[in-house]
Amino acid sequence: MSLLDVKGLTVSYAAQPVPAVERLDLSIERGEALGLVGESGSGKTQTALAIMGLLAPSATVEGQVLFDGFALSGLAPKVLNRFRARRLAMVFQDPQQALNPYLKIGEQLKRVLLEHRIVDRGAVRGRALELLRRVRLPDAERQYRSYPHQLSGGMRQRAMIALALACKPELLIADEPTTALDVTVQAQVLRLLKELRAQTGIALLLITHDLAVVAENCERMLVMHQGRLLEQGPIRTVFRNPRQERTKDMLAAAARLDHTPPARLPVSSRVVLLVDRVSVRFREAPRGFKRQESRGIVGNVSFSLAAGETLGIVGESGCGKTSLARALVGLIAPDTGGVRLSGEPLAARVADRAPGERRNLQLVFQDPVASLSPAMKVGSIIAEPVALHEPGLCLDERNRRVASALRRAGLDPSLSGRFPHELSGGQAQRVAISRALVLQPKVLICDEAVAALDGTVRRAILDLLAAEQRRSGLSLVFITHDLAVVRQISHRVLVMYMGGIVELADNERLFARPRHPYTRALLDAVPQADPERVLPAAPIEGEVSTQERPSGCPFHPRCAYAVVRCREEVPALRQVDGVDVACHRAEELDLR
Amino acid sequence: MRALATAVALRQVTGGAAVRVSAGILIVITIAALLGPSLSSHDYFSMNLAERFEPPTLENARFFGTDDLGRDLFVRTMSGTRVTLLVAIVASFVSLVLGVAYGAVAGYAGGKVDAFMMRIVDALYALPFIFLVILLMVAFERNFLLIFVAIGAINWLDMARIVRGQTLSLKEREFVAAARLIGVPPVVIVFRHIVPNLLGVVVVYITLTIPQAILVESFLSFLGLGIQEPQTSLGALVNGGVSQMERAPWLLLIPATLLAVMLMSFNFLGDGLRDALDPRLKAR
Repeated sequence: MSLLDVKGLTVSYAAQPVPAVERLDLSIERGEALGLVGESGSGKTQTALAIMGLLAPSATVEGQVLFDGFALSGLAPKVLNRFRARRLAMVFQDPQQALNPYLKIGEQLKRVLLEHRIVDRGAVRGRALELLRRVRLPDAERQYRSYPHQLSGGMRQRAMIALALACKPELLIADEPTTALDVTVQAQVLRLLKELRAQTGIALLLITHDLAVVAENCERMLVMHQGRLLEQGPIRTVFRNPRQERTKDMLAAAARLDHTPPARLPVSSRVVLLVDRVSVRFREAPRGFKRQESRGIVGNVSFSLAAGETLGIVGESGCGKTSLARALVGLIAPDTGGVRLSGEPLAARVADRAPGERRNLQLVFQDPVASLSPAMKVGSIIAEPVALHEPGLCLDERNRRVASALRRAGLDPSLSGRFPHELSGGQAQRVAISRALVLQPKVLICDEAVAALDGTVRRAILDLLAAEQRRSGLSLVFITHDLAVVRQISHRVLVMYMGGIVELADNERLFARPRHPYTRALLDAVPQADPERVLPAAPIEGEVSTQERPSGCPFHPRCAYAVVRCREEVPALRQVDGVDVACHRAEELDLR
Repeated sequence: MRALATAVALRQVTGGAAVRVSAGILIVITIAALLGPSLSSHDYFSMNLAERFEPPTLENARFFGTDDLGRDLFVRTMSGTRVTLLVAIVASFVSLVLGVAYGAVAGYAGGKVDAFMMRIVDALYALPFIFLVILLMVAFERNFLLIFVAIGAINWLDMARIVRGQTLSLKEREFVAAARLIGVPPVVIVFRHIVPNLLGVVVVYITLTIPQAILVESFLSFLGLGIQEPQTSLGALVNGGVSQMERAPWLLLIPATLLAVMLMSFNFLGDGLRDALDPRLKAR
């Protein structure tokens, strides 16, 4: 008998014509790790909630959920609660929302342990601490007394896992457990899940949009599309011979670092954008008698961008890449340093720049929906820059421009009558890109422009940008946390850590032979859609966000190669074999 | 432009029967208030002591009866409604235009400009309103216009604060950053990108302002500072009806019911308008 058996599960809502999940069959054996993959809206989360009995009352559920032979559907809420708590557990995407912000971590653990009579009062504290150590929460004693907001994202997710494991469940359902985390932290959490499985024999249902995460962490997978089961099978079989076209597309769009990227256009030698020692500091608002403090976000970043070139900027959250982008376009004024566009120095603030300078440097934001005014129609959103920069155009001509911009972005001009909320995420991002490109800028900065999109949509947007580059010789600065994207599209790659450049190299060179240990760590941490890959021995420890700026090399506390000098002396960015790298040991280390 | 948008929005107000019924009631009341007095054979000021306290009857077109001075209550109620609606609409309009513009500009400008503009609002808040009105009434001749100004002058302060708060959060949104990058001038950003996105909140607040303005007007009338006899308003009629409650209950019931129905209709209509003006809700 399987541990979990789902038969003919259908979840439907009265307000929606199509059921969210339709006649789904699924089973998990004891100790097995099953990956449930699909794009957003494919019904993955609905399936998980249906298994747990956590769906909203407005949902209609049909079919059977058998856990170890017991039918979960139809149990009285109280019985179900007890049963569920002791044998199934769930970890959610956003630990911030899943943890109670008013209770200390230890208190939350204690309540679960006592409520389900796992241990008695005397032993509860010891047990809770043991759980926290088990999930490798650094400094467990302190975290036990901390509130959720005092923990970093990765630590919160560990605490969440500890809570889930408190009652020694037999099945853990993890819904996008690492999607909100940085790559290095994601690698740590996935590693932890793996170890816990090995220790306890718990079964895992891993729900994710990321085929790469499934490839490295599951034995069997199940692909969903629009509420239906598309195909299932052992990981290797599905990856090697996908039976459905849709699965093939998803696999083709999935992140892989080992695929040779498509040929990119040659780059001209003419420098378009020159960034000269830009630093950004944020001043914290004065609070009471506390002295006003300022924090360095970006420190002395310099690089140049040639016409037709794509520069990828990678780094984890909080490394200053978004602040850098905003400083380049003039949304925030850099404290020192400046930007030159085609040789001309630009004013620090966008309001002080000349119209021609503004149109030549445009930015595309991460969240496409937030970057479009909810009260404006698509047509007027794109017409606005045209009307502003070419006020002489007649209405007909302006409409023609809007229509052609939409068409170039792969959208039907009839969409111009729609409001942004009526668009899908991919369409909205295309509209945002049209708005930026309708001015025919020389440089387009994309700040995580594809991070919020599904794999196939992401691929389409990247193709769109590449086509535009071919057409007009546009230069791109592509800011992302996703190394696979950078590998696909960029000529050069700039790696940032704590506000500074640690490495700047050609695409090929960087991926073949990283010079900085941090680059190496990032490469190791990226999961890849390749079940055959031999996983690196151990993911890098620690998190950026938890640390005060250390002395010397900012990376030394997490660096496996750090020596005394790294702690004392800040490494300057220098050339080693044609690569700019900020590491004292760049010459001697071989990080291939 | 805005009128057109409002017309479009009105057409999209389909949020259930309550909204349509409310709109219908308000239209009927407005038409009756505008035309009613001229259709009746009576007028609102002629006294007739021989016909005091006549209950409502179809005879002699005394639909709502007569009051303690023998004046025709139907005509008085209709002309009172006219005054009440006018006060409410003008006061809300003042509060809308002044409050939204002031709040949005202060919020978007931020920093010292914002601090200065909002301190002015704080200072105005601190003025004792009734005292101010009494001063105004004493200094100038009593007139209609002054009541509008007085009521509008307090309501726009609240509106300015609400709009400023909303603007502060809206201006951090990415679509505003995108507009700045394109080079849209600040004034245009405020009125094209920020204000339309505030309308939902504004409409809801206006539906609170209208009843409030009606109530303030009736309160002023009660103090003898508002509408002066023989002119009247719904508030004044209700206040007059209270004193005759035992002898002629219709003097209280009819204007009071009308007032209540109007206030409720405005509230329902406001809910519907908010849904219609919020593009995200429209899709549902």
